[in-house]
Amino acid sequence: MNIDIQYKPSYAMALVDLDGGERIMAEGGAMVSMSPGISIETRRSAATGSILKTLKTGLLGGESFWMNTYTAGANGGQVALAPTLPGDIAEVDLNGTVFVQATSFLAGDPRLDFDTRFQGLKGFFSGESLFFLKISGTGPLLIASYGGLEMMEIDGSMVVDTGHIAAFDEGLSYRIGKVGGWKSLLFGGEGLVAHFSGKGRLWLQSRTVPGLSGWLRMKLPPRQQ
Amino acid sequence: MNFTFKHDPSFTLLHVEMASGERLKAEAGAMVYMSSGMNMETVFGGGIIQALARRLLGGEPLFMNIFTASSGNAVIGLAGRLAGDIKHLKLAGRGVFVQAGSYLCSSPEVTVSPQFGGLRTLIGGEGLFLLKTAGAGDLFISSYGAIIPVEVNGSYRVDTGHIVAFDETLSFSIKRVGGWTSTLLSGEGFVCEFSGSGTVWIQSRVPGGFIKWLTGLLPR
Repeated sequence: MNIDIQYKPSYAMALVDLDGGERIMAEGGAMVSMSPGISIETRRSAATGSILKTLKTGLLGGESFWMNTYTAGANGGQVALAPTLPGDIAEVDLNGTVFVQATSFLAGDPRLDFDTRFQGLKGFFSGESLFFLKISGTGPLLIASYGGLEMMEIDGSMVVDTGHIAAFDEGLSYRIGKVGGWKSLLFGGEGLVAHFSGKGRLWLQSRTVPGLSGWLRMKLPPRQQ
Repeated sequence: MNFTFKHDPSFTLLHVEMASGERLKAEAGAMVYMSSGMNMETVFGGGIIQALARRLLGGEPLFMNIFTASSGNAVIGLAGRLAGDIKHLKLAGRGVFVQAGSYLCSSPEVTVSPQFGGLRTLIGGEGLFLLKTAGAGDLFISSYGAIIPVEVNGSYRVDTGHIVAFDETLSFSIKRVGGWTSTLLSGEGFVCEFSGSGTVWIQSRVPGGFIKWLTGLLPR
């Protein structure tokens, strides 16, 4: 498998070259184009055969995780993949475990193990829910962002606005809390933040979906009943 | 204070490194990340009257956040809400008017006050709400789309929605484009006519234009 990411950073698209029989699994709707001889199979979630995991995704995720697996025929082929929003894509050569914010997952090796972990918490004001996919194993993984994708090597601690989190290594732990005092929580406009600590990579996106949706809700005329 | 821009020009992120004791004030909600050794405090945007005025006229946050580095090598990331760029202006005494939604952050020495420009600033349809920044220090402005500086010497007209900021040395007035037919049908509405000598920073897209387009497409 060879992955080439083009049109970075604002409108990135991933060109995935598959050898004969190789597979790539992508979120529903991500396929832009594909060469002849590639077959597609659609499944709910990534659940590697486990009904329990599928159910968990369906019930707790609140988001539909229909995943498509693309398999190349004997002569190989190419699949082009793109996320919904304008922004970047990064390839993560996974060897271990990462947590990927649900809307930042684009595609991955189907041999990776996918699990959903509902964080059960919503940002106070913005309604932003923290919902991560736990992805483990060895193989390529593609994550996408709204805006630029910034990778930081954390060794120590970092405070991050929750809406900007795209993904992070398992080596990092976090707790959700406020930054500053209570006045800051109420009026500071940052809502709740994630206090990360430990050692590992953290991927941030330079714009947030709650920021965009909040702005649209404020500006668009109210829906007529 | 050292700063770098990343992911510019479409989704610019401002990365700032601060020495111990250095401070930065920012629009509420602009913080993306901050390291340990950085403290945040939320304050009224410069007095209750000003805050009220900003609330009524500026339509943007009542509060600002003050970030203070309590150790060396503290870092902070800041970004605007919309897809667009960030530019740095070095203020040295002379003031700059900033369209309210385009203020991102500044050194604490830079004063930020709402400017009620009278009715002339309200007739643009899109509304031109200005903040006056003054003092000596760093100012960062954000945009929807790209930011283009234009040196004005004489006179220059800008669609009101495209204004990001302009030097206080420029005088301005809101005008119709052409006759009433043009005003109503050209899609240009009102323009801001600048005269004098100084810089105008314009943005290549208008938030109001995007909203109008989207409103036309959405079901009622």
